[in-house]
Amino acid sequence: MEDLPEALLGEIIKRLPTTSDLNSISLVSKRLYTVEAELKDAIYVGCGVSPVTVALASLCSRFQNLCKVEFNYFGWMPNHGMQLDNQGLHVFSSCCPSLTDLTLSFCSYIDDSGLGFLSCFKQLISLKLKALQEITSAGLLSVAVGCKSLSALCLLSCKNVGSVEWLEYLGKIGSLEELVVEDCKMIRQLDLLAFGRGWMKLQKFGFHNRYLPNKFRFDGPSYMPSRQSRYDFCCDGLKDLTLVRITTEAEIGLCSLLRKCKGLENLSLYYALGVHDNDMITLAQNNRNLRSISLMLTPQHCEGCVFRTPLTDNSLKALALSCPMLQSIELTFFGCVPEYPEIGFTQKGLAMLIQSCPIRDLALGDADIFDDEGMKALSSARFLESLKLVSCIAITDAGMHHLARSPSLINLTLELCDGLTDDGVAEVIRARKLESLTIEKCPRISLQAVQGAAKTVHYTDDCPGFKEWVERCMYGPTLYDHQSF
Amino acid sequence: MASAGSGDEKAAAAAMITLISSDNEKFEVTEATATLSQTIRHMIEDGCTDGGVPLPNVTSKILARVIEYCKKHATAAAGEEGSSSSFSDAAFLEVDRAFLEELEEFDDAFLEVDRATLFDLILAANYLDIKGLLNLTCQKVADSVKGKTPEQIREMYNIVNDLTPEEEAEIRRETQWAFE
Repeated sequence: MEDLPEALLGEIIKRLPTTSDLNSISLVSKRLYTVEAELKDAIYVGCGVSPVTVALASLCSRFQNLCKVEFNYFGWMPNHGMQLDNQGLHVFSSCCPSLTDLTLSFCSYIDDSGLGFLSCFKQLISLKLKALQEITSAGLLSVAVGCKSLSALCLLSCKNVGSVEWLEYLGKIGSLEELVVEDCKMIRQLDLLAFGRGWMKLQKFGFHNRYLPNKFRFDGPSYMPSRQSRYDFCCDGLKDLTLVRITTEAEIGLCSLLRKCKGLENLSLYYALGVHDNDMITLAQNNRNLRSISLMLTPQHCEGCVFRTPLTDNSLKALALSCPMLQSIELTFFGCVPEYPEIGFTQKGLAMLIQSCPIRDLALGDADIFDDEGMKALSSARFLESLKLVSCIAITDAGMHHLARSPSLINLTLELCDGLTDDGVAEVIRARKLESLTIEKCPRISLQAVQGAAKTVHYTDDCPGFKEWVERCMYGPTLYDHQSF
Repeated sequence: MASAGSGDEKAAAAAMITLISSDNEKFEVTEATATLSQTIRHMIEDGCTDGGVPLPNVTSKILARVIEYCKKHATAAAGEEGSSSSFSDAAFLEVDRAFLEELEEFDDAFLEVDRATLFDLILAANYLDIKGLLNLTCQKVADSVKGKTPEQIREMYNIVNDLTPEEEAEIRRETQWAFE
């Protein structure tokens, strides 16, 4: 192995998936240590790294090609030693000039003057700031002005960032391609309109509220009917759009994006109250390249006094007719009582969509309208590779019998599906060559029935999937997890 | 149209290339097989393959194995092109799937070689610029290292530990910092 040239050793090391394997490799010999260190482009710095400036100097000299660094002080206590502070950030900028991606999470000693040093990272492209309680709009403005190469900005749980001059500034420069604002309670959806011309170049946008506002409020400085010009922007470049827990209304606020987009590929709307059929129909007709759609819906009072999820089969029909590339669908219904028809979609509508588009991935959560008839429709979806059913209580073994004929199925996940037994799952296992099979908290499916049934099998009685799902329903999904690398 | 198509195929089949190993053994292969190697593809494009292509870095033993790989994968590539136009046909999907499985089995069997041969294959794949083969062989080595301790890796590949205990301790400390 030692005889191979360095480039080829690198090819091998690149293919090691876990950090523990990489750590082992670096302890084998000097040569492997060097090759591994040259390949390493990302590190994660947490509470145990102390003193942090000394460690950074040493790490930066070992890993010469470092370009992604995450600092995360989640769960930090004073006895962990000093956190990275403003001055530390300045020192770091001098020993890591090639940095392109920086994440600062829970850094309680970094404030606006620390953000001021970020302009020293001349090549910074992507910046993620999470739970930095001390920073304000002024600090962000210095980032907007100083970091000339910045093209991705993600702001999470920064509660003291209020006014949006920085956003206006970034909009005027128009170099941002990715913008995510999550759980920053002083930034409201109408504030985002200040981005203006910046929308034109943006490819990915996410706005998440932590809690669902009960009611759309028209008052406040952000909304005045005379400021309609704020809506005079284009967002033709937008490919990924995620809106979580917003209340919006006919073309007001971020809902206006749904009508403006033309090149959308991925859409996620989680509890976006106030989005109606006509919005979805316009969106479907304008975005023929739509590839994935993910909706979380909860019933609300619609016209008349009907209490149901607002989107109906008309939306599904528009998607089926206008989006020939649609291959991934996720639908979760929350708080719908099975006894009443509180889901706006019908099984017939879903079946029609599944049969019209080349669906590869389908996930249904709490879809009590979906039963064995729907599964029959799935069996003729010939591209369907991955199916996830969570708490779909109306499906029985008869539905699994249909699924066994689905020609391309390789990944199957069943959670909280009380209607399914060993017999139904066994039929699918026999008929299909599954890559992965996940069974979580399905009381009538036994471990024995699924052991060895696929390349990877995951089976559990307690239900992390369910917890995750409820959390997702309660708080909305987070676009980025805590440890992104 | 049909006859023109088969004519092309014949022309392609007729174009043979001679590869000459380091120990002067000659191998006749089709152009389709040879051009899986980007290195040889460029030589053909530059028109310098008359009289055979000398490959001074590859022994006949290794070249024979490389050609075996290229033959199998050249047919696979041709098959993919043929079926892409009718991908919507479910029957073709089935066929493709079966074919891919067969290819996977071939690759697995192909990799059943001793370590020295494996490294020679890596060097040859790199020299001839055959992406698929390089990927396959490097992955095989990476897989063999997975989950192993540094000591086990040294033993497996006869590597001498040239790190002093102090250096080792220093690396461990850095590692702990960087990946806690």
